[in-house]
Amino acid sequence: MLEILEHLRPLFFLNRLRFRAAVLGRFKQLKTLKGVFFVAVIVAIVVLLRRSFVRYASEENYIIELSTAAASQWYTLGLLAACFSTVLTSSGSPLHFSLAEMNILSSAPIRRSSLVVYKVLSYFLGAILSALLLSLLLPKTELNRAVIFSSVVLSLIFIQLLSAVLVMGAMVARKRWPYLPSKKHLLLFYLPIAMVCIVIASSFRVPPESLQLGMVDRLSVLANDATDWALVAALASPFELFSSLYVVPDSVSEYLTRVFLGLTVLCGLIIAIVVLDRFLIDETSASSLVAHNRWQSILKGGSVWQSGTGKLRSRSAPMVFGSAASIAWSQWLRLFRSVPTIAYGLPSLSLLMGVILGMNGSAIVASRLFPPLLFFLLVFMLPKILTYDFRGTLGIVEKLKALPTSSTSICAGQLFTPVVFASILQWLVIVGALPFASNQAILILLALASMVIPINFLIYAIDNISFLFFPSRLVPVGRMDFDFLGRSLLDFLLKCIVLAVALAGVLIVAQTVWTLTSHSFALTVLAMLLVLFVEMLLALTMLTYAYRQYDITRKP
Amino acid sequence: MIRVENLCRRYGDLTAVDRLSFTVNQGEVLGLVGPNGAGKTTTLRMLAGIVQPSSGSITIGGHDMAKQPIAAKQVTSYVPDDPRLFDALTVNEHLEITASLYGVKNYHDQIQELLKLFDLDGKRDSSADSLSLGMRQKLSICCAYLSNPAALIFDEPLTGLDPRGMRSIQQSIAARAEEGAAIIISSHILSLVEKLCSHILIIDEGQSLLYGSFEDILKTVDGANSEASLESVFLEITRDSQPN
Repeated sequence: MLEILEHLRPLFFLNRLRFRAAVLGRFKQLKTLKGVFFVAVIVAIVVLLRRSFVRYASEENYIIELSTAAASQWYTLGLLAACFSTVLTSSGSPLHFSLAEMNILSSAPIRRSSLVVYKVLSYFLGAILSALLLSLLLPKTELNRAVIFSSVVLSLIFIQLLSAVLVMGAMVARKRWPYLPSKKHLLLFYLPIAMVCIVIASSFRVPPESLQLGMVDRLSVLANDATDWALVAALASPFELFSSLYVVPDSVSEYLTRVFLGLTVLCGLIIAIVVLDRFLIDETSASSLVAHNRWQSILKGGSVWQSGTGKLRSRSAPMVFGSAASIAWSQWLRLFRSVPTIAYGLPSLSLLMGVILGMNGSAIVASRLFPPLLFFLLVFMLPKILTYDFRGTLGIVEKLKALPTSSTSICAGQLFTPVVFASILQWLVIVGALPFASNQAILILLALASMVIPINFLIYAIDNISFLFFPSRLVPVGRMDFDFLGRSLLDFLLKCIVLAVALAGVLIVAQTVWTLTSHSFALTVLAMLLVLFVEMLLALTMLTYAYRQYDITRKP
Repeated sequence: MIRVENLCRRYGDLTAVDRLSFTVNQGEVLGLVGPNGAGKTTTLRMLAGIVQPSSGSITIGGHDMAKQPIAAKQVTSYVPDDPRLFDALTVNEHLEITASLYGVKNYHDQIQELLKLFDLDGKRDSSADSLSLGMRQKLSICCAYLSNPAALIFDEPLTGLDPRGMRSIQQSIAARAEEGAAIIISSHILSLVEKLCSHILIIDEGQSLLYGSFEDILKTVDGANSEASLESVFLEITRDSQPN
């Protein structure tokens, strides 16, 4: 133990130097006008968000409810969901070392366990910064800000560590028993089956009087029922411990006891990571190398998501529709060779979302949170994930410009994959919701389904146009990268404005046709589609112009 | 000083390094050469303790790398082919970190000497990401020299260096060997290997093809006269493995 601490000393020294350099780097960004402007944008948006959130929470009486024992079961579920999604979206070993760390630290006379502890502790910085931001954003509750901050830090670290232990445990198990199902299989087969089982169980297990309840309430009844089982209770206990940190304690000593127990659990998880790492040294090196290559690719304008490497099954490019189809095909391959979470996980998740929406449609859609959340998901989050266009392949624009193909074809080919894949996801949501929809809702859903492609085309075209005019990094260079954060928020604002104008045009035409045709639904939808199609052509023309003017010597 | 016995490294069905055995004594320089993908870097990474061997043993300074990795690494320095450094840290901070990691005491004068030797004294406070490839390589070598290791492992040490840099590195390697260090150099610059190395190990597909002093190697190659260069010997030996 003493030896581990002794070896940690130079590593802490290293972290101190790196932290200092990172802070100085951020201050350097502030020395430029652009840096100051982006910080101002970030502060303004954070203040606006906080104000609207506080107002919403106080109107809905959430402030009082946030720190009650009743709310704690939702925190438990939230922690469980966060852990589950972290495990699902992770790829390779959760421990990543930079190439410098691999070359310099791995060959230095340091115990491996010290290196692992150093790495795990360095991850905590992210949790601390996130907690700081969250505790500032959250409305004031009966808990003071210091308590909220420490609770958020502890629970974020808990999620990080537990997810790492689960992923590493699964990797060790699969190394020993290769016939165990892979994550891809889990996502493709077992997760949908489990979801269907839960839905069926919710119909059979819950008391008859609960059948009138919405899906969320039924799941809540099921969860309460399940906690009676000893195994479930044991598994849920650490989650309950960390969720209890958000509940107003009877005394300071009670809160400190919870914190002490939490810290004990975290120490146990760190020990588990050190032990599991012994079996995964090669896998960690391989994952680190993949992460390094991904980062190098991002710095050259490549996608955030690493395409499959090593030996792959070669696919033939389509020989029809010319170069545009070939470009689209290459992007499509990149999509399906990136992390399975995107290619296989998102469609499964979309279908599930559709079913949940269908079962609780009216309640969810009526919620005030639903429209902004949906908008944020479709217009901000999804395009950040689906960068299988110019944003993810800036490095090959030089080659594209040399192709004997029209710029319009190239632009259409580049946009094909994100637009079509996003549309498939949205169609799956609609398909999931259809069985539960009324006749009138089915008509609306089908009309929406027909407009998905042009709307997505607009969203991704705007992203690509602004990217080609002002190339920028797709990921921050580190935590609190003001340039990146400010640029992302500005991009989002710009996209909101352009989309608002485009959709306003569609709605004006729709309203006019609806009135002129004496409320003909089919003609109104047709008119909307026509306007969307014209806007799509306009966007393609703009994108082609942006592509032509893009100077390949400009790097993000 | 460095003793390797039956070293193997397998990645699934692929055997990257296959039963390699060699010894590098104090003051000797071993040149490790082979075609691309021959297993040179994997071998060096195993020697540096970065990659675990599938089987076989590595002993450095009398310490078994598997059983006493800390003691073995304490007397070893590794210069990788890709001089990756901590981007935000300065040249001086890299050297200080290295001193801290290897427990080097009173290193300030030594740092000054090394920076002067490799023309980096003007870059002391420059961040690593502002350095050219050649300068990063020099810094990487400075870090390797700082702990005065008994065993030095170089993977393509002349990457990105200008002629003056190449010369100073070559001279420093020769000087370290004279002082008694056991050195292994992997390089595709065969003239450098021929000039600097007392022993040569040619490997292909992870296996040893030839091992010994250059003179001994010439004797074992059919048709090679005493004037033959390492390049001609290498091309002859590895002819079968080259794609048509």
